[in-house]
Amino acid sequence: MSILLELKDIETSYGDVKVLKGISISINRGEIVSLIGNNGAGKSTTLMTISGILRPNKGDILFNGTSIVGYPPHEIVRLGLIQCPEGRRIFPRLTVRENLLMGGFLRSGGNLDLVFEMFPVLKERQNQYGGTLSGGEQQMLALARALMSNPVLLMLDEPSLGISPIITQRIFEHIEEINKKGVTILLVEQNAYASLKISHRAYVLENGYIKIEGTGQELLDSEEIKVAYLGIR
Amino acid sequence: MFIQQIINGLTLGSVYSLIALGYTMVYGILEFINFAHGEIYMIGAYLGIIFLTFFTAVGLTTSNIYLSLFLTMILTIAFCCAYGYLIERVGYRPLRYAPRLSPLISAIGISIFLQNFVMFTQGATDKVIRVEALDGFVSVWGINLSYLQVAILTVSFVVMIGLNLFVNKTKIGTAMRATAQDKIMASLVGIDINMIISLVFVVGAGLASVAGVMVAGYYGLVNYHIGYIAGLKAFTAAVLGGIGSIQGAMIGGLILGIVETLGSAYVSSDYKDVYAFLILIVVLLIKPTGLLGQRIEDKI
Amino acid sequence: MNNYIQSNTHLIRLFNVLLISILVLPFIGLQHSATLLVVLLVVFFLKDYLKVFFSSLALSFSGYSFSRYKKAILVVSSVIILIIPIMPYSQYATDVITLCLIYVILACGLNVIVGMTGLLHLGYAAFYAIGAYSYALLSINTGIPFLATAVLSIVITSFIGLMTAFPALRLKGDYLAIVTLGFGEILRVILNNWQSLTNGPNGLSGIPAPHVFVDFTDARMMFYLTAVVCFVSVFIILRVERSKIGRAWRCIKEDETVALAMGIDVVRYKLISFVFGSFWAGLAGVLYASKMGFVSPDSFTFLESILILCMVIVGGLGNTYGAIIGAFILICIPEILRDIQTFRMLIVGLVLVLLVIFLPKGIVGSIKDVNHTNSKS
Ligand SMILES: Nc1ncnc2c1ncn2[C@@H]1O[C@H](COP(=O)(O)OP(=O)(O)OP(=O)(O)O)[C@@H](O)[C@H]1O
Ligand SMILES: [Mg+2]
Repeated sequence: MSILLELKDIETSYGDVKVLKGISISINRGEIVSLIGNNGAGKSTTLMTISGILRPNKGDILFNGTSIVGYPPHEIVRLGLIQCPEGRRIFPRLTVRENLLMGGFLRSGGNLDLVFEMFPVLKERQNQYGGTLSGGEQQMLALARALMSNPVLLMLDEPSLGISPIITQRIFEHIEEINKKGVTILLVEQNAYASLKISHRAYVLENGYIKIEGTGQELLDSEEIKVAYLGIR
Repeated sequence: MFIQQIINGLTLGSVYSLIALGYTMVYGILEFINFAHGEIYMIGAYLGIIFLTFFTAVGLTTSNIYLSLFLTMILTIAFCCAYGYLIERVGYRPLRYAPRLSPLISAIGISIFLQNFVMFTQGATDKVIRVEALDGFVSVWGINLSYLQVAILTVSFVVMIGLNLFVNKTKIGTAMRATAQDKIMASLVGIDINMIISLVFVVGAGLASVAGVMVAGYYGLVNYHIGYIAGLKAFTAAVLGGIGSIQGAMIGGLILGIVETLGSAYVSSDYKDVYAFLILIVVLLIKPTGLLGQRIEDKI
Repeated sequence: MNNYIQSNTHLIRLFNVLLISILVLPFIGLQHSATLLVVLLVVFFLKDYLKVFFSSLALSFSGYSFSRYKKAILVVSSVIILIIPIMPYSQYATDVITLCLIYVILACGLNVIVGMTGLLHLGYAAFYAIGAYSYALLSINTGIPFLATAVLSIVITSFIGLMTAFPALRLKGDYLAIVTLGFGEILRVILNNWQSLTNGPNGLSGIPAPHVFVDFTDARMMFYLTAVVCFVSVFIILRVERSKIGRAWRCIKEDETVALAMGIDVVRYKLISFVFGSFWAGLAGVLYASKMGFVSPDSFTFLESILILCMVIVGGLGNTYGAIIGAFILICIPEILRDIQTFRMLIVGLVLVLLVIFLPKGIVGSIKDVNHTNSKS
């Protein structure tokens, strides 16, 4: 299996506060990799660093073997690294359709039918403002928007946040489905159990360090994880 | 006559609207008052005169007045767009992540600089222009419309409709709105927000220059400080309509123009600069977001 | 940074330089424009050195700790004040320095509102005007003694400050800015047009000089009076800054919601800030009117408000010492450039832009930064 994305000893800070203290992650083509960790561990920061919104002060990020540190965010998107950020961040005063078209900003249209097929709800609501959708619908929209750009690597930041268990399950099904179509996925989740179950491999982030790494099953079986993240004793 | 005054007011107002659009678009994206924007309008007026004088000197104006006017307009717009681009690039972009007041100061510096640059190179006295071909009137139902008024109203109308279509119907226009709503998310979907910001400055400057050229023709004279007061009023118009809102700027400008004209005609022309601010203050106290504005706190 | 991005930036910069010379072409002609292009290209290639130059400007102060440097200001200003009467008397220099001191009061006063409380005020010159005009009108038209007139003028200014603050403070951020700006414009138009009261654009002349036991008609006497008033004012402002009120202001500036949650009466402290700030504008107005003996609307334009704001920001927002330095710099630079009258404002504009770009935290803030990093390493 070939390595698609590799983080080498990345350090990122906000002002003087160092949040990532040297983390290394590698993601193989075709995998679902989860990144789990407590609130404030630095998961979102990791994704923002990959996306080029934040700049690491040390370390290197290789995508397909070339360094992408210092690339502006839109160039990173052009390479196919798409992030669906925490809190969904739907454009509230664009219609659903416009939100989706923006998702495919760098590709000209195309994917819209495919996405509507996957999320029929969105088709019904395509002329409604994004801000008027319910939380679950917004999450669908966020996912759909990310898919619009034909991602090579899709990074999802807490897709189940604030969403009912049933919808969460649907979302996870969608994620697996997307993965089956050949999209590599980096999944950040609080919902450790659900995400570990669908992941090939996983990393546990704690206070800016990678604490544990292994396959999804290994982590599900690990005592440490059970206690700290799955709430099982 | 009342209708006549309304027409005059609309003429003035459409000029304010054109300038106000630049303020409102920049504010919508950067949440920053581009104080140097009025100077673009002033530079547009000067460039219009300079180019037209040049075309007259080379004889184009006598052989084909319309081509000459058209070229003047196009060249001025192109130059002013470039001014808009450069101002952002040189004066504001280095301050993108600086405290809120820094770009404001930079804008003021640029404004002072441009005013004095024009004064230094073109002299402090009024510059006069007269285009005889545009001196005539049309009379409709007893209302006199000068050719220039007709031109100003038509051009503004067309330009504003064009802008509306551009912002609401095109992909780049949608990207502009997306960037105004959430810059980080916009860059996460692959929008080059620096490009969008440049574009906003370019478009805004282009609109202001259209206003500048037309006003130069309308009043027949310009000087280096017309940008300041027109800029202030246009900004007022933008706030009145609800800053950040494109339709708001258009409506705000028209209202302002009409109120100012009626005020000067029926109350006192000494206080013509006051009406604008009075309405502004009243509107802000009653509806702080302006007529069509979104709540500003939403954006924080 | 990746190489391709870097080379890209260079190309864009080169393009911008070319663009500048094309854009000025219609204004200055082919020959000058070509000259400018050459100059800009040279600057372009030396750009990185320029950056070093500017930061070393800040570094040159770094030997001083901040408190030492505060003392330095006191020492320097005292020396200036002692030297002036000894130096060969120059009416011009005295006048300029007196003017500087008046602006110090203005800058410190505005700094209270903008810098400490975080309320963007764009019509400060209006209050300066109210102070000056009140004093002028009262002293010309009534026989009230100087001190009473002065106090009354300042009270009027503060009161008008209070009256505008009530409605204005309901607005947030930039809206407050625009309303204060509008207020300034309205006042200026009124001053220009209310002939019977203000004598319109011609202004009021024959304003008596201050009189406390003696007449302060002499420029040097006036200078001493201003100096004393200025020192006292700065002292008071510094005290208030450190008091409970000052802390409340800072808290509001940091985060209004947090301030509310902490039980700070935000509206009340904003009002106090606004009125307190207006007070100093009134005082400066009185000094100005009585020094000049003449006031006209031209001295209180929007540009004046902006000038004072720039003093505050150039020095370092929120820092009283910064405001003092800013006032001196912004009054002195144009004076120094007086010989090249025609384009001094051109340079002032340019300097403003360069200052905010290269010294983003103002002069004092930048010095503090340098000291901070020095002490850490
Ligand atoms: N913009 C910011 N400025 C300063 N500190 C920040 C900023 N964003 C995040 N932090 C800090 O960085 C740390 C990591 O934040 P991050 O958002 O990466 O955590 P996370 O793992 O995604 O947590 P959560 O599960 O709650 O989303 C936190 O301590 C947070 O306070
Ligand atoms: Mg997070």
